[in-house]
Amino acid sequence: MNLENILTKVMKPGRYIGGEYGQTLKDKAKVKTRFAFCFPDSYEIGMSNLGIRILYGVLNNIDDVWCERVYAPWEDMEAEMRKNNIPLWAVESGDKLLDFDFVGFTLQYELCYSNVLNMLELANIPLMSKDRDDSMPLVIGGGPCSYNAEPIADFFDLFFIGEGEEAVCEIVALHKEMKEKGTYTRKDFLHEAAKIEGFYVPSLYDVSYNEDGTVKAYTPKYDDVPTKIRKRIIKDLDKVYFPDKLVMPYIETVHDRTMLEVYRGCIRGCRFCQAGMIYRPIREKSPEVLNKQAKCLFENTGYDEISLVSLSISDYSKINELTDDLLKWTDENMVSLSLPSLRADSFTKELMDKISTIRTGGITFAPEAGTQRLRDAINKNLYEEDLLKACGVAFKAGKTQVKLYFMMGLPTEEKEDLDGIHALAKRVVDTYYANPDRPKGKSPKVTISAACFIPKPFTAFQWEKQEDMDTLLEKQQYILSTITDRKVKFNYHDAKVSRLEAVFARGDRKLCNVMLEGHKAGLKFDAWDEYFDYEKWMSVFEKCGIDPAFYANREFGKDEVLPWDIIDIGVTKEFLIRENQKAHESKTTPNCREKCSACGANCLGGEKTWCNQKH
Amino acid sequence: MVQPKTLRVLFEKTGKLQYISHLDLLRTMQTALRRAKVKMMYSEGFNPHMKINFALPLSIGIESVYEFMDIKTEGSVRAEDVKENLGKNLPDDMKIIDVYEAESKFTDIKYAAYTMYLDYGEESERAAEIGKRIFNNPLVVTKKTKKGEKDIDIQPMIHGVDVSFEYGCALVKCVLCADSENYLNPFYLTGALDKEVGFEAHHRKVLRTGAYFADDKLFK
Repeated sequence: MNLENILTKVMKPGRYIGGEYGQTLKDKAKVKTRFAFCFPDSYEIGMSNLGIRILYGVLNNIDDVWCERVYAPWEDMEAEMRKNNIPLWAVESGDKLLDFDFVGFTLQYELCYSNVLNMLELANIPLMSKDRDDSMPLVIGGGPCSYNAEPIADFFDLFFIGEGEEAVCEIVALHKEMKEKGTYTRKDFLHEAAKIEGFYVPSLYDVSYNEDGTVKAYTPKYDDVPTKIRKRIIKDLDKVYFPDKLVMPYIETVHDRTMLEVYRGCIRGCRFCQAGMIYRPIREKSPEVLNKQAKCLFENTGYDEISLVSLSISDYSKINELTDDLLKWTDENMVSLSLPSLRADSFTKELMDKISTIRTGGITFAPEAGTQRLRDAINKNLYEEDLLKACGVAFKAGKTQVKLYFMMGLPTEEKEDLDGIHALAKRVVDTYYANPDRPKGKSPKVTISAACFIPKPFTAFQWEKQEDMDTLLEKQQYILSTITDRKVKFNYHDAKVSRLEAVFARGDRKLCNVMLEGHKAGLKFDAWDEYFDYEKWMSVFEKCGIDPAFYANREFGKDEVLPWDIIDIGVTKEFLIRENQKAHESKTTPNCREKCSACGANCLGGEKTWCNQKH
Repeated sequence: MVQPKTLRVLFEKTGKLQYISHLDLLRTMQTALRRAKVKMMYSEGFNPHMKINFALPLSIGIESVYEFMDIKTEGSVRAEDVKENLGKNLPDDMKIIDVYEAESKFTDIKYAAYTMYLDYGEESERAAEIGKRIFNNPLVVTKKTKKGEKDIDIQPMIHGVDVSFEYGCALVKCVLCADSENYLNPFYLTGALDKEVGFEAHHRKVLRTGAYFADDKLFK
């Protein structure tokens, strides 16, 4: 059967056809380098990713480079592709991935790893890097999971660590140069690439292990290959390439709107948060540049919503100036603004009046922990009175529903911290009734959502263990039992999903075999409830003779060589150790704007940062 | 107070656009109208929407060179500007044919015309013969309705049909009922033919070519 007939049979064929307004088409005859940018999940999720939007523009901005998009086909399409021998294609040209020079994957979450393997197989690309010959595409990975991509290291030719706007051009240029000179071989290219800052070629390092299974050492195979790979950052965000047009999806995607990136990094330093560390140092864009870019994107996309993107938007030092500038033209053009990452301590009446999506939509805060003691231990730096004040503002404006995000199983957590979750929700309910102008006959609804703590590389909690499954389940039931108020609703995450995520997050190269066996067992789309199969994964671990608890539920030693020690994010291990100790003393650390805590990230440089200690 | 006006946009959506649902087409048009800076009228309320209305929603898998959309704009908007600016802001497989102030209503549409190229390989000629026979006689199909499945004779809803063997395909040109009470999806015809031939066409191209008033005049 041909593809056209298949397209009328599968769900949402708009996922597979390309042809969207804003896509880039090029004349193959004039193109020297072809780059297939893959998102290892569905089109709807992949099209929402800001990183791809940026790098798609960066690459296509180069005349003789053509970057195209690839997404994981949904199961119905995959079945048809396998039945009819149709290899995975890129949506712009419809060409198979084997025709490309680079096949890049963005690794946004650990649970997409199985999809990477499945996509390589659907593309007829050998899964293992060592099995690919010189005619085959180079498989490159990037994104947050590349900071510890050891569990999938055998499947990638190289990884890029950091912000890719400049580096991706360098790697493409190296490839072109070697091809033109006739010196290209996969082996020589990878050796050269490993010398460019930010590129990690896992096959150029031998890994040895101690008897207890922990890592002994990473040893470079050549003298001219770095012993540590330092992440790359963009120093001046006002000057970095900015995509002035976007590919406009036909079908509805997760974030179907303009995403305006306001700054990178975070001043906060929550001790569980990986993004807060790996994107340091903080670098802001100026309001003038942002306003210009927002207007340009509105004109070129026609989106009626602009979302201000950052890790914690109210920490942007010029947030009022920016929103005022934007509102001068957005309202009259029927464009709404949204601020998706608001902290409760910065939620004001003024901001609420400005932001229409807050006006009409729901409101969500993330206290993360139920007591001040635990919020201090995780360095959330949020006080109960700030949260209640924020809820009070929302209630006064006629809101009746509030969502609160928590984490359970955090290091140092005690029973009273769990009790605190309901107590806090209860006080939010009380805040509602304390408002004399509350709407008559309406009761409030407070939804508590509790995720399981996952220790992540490059955080102060990277050495901590995740609590075992039984304890997590017990704690979920316990929290549920504390909730007596019908106005409070409790949701919790599947602990099995969190455990698998913890295993992959802190995994080493020994897990590559598990990934391979998991793939052979048909595991994929692990981030989707309807596909996630914990029992199957556990049987794969057993078959491979690997204990998942070694990665998820073991406290790592402070003197242990960590699988991700090969990567240098600027933030030092000494800083993370200090932060870990302070967590156990329930002591907070001031944010970057208040005081520099010498995390080390300022060695990377950067404009418009809050770092005041230059090395 | 702005005096609104209604403009009718006649457009084609072919190629890849055949796989786009009605709702997705609406969203595509909304962003395109904003890019084209067409001054639109919006609904009132918390979530204002552009006032857009489509005639005859098209099933996935059907291309069309005769689609209509009515847009309510501010009175100062000129049809020729919309034609030019909107045309520049559409995906490759969509084209504006004309924009004008219309006198008719979408509810005046009685029939729609389709051309279908159905490739049955070496069996195409036989398929054409079968088509000639079954489309000109009572033809009972199982029709899905809101209340469930129902067997009905669709022949009275086939206003005109011509079947031939051309380009190696069974070529079916037909005019089908297309008003709100009697809307016949052309896939009922292809489905019936597949069933009689004994297998599904290897390839099919279905194209909507026109819409008509009750008196058979071309709808505008």
